[in-house]
Amino acid sequence: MTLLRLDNVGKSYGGVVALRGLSFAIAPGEIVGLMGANGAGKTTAFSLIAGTQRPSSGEIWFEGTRIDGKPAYAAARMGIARTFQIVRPFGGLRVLDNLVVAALYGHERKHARSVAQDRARQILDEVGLSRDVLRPAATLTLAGQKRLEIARALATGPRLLLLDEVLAGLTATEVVEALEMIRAVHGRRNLTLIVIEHVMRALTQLCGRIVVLHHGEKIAEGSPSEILGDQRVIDAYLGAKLR
Amino acid sequence: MRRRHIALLAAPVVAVGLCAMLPLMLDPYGLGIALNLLTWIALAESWAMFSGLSGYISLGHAVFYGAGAYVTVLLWQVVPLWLAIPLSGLAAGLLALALGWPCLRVRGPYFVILTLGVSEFVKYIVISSEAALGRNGRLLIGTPSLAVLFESMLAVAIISMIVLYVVRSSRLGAGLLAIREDEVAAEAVGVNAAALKLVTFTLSALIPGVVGGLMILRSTYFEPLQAFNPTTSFTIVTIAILGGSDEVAGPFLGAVLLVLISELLWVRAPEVYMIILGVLLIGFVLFVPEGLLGRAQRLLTPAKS
Repeated sequence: MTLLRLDNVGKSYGGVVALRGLSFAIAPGEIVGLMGANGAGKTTAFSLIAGTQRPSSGEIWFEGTRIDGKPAYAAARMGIARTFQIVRPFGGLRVLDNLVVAALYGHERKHARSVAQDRARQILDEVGLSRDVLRPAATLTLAGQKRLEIARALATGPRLLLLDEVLAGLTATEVVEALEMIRAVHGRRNLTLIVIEHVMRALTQLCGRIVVLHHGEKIAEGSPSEILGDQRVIDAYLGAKLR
Repeated sequence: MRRRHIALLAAPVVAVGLCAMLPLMLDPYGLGIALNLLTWIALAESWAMFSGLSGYISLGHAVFYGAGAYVTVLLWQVVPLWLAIPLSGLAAGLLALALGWPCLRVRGPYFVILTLGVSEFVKYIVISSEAALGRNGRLLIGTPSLAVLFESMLAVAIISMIVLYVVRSSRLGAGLLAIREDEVAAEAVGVNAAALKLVTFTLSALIPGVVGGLMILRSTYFEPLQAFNPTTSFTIVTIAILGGSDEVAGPFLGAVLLVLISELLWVRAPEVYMIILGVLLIGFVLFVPEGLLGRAQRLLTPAKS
């Protein structure tokens, strides 16, 4: 069974090709890593799946429905949630209200505000933001805002969650804590994850499978150990043998 | 706790009751000022419902006000007033729907300029068509008394405040606030920004349409340059800046302050009235950017240790 399938997806901006013929499929419950150097097309792939941008070619299917070309809000309502690499909190709103909007409008679409608030508090507990519920989101630390990105995405009640470098910029301790949190969040739900990350150890620990992009093309796909041993990946991305 | 609830409920009821009795207490001059105040409260509250919540600063309220006035004038002695006034609001709403469709595709300063431009465009269409019809202004004879207009405007102002309160605490309000904070992120959590903006823009035009209809009955003379005067929009934005905040109390305080100052200055210093108002506005933007309500809330919130 397939949750998400990309068929020969391409994206170009004028003459610049950001993504070329990308195909992969993901089963429900999987955690898949998306790896590649800066500019390899990782975030572009996310934007196409989440509907922020429209592919130039190819098809994207989610739960048996073709979704490429659908707007971002429609993708969110179907159950695709994303975080942003550069955090985009609703800064002037309280942390709680950041999640309440997501609960009201997302995939689960809670209709009563009180129900949405209960759900929001529960998720804030889960990601470790329960002390900051009533603070304006803009006053959170970077680590806090990264957690808020995940929390807000979770509040939509997604089937598929796209995590775009949620560990970048965190200290070593924060990375360990965040990894634990992500694993717990995944374990507690029937959730599928696609993870973009530069922290290699995080990717290999978290993901069952990794897709490697290079200059907009997929050059490898497989388990973490296969990827780390793949000569093309080593040449293109890692530069030197890791082990 | 219970006693406090009763007080909270009773206070507005008593206030509205007292306001409704003002025509018995004030002379026509005083009542005129009170009507003026209610007009600005109604306009500013309805403006805040779209612009305050979504962050899209619209200079379009003048055109909805003008459209309301125009429709009331066109329907004068064609249909009864109780029907003409709501129809004026409806017409303004339809106009907002038509104008919002293209205008709401742009953001930030482009949106501000576009709403101003489109308003002026509509104004000159009305001027030209009136000229083509050979109408040089229209006179309304036998309009309702000042007291009747006052009571109607009181109702409109209250409705405007209630609507802002209800929208702000609704699902729609949550979506609009998210759009104001970050439209891309709002869409990513499922907010259909385009639809929400258009619906709210349309809703927020109903009140100025009705207000325009009522106020043309007060002035008894319709002249497009006056009815569609963009100063209406600028004044509303001034009120929003003075009052601050997107809560109901913000535009209310701003309107009270502006009308009060205008009346004082108008009488005592008619030559420098606009200059002083301008300086005041600049002062507020520079030193009290959060507005009266924002400042009051900050002063009243105990500092956290």
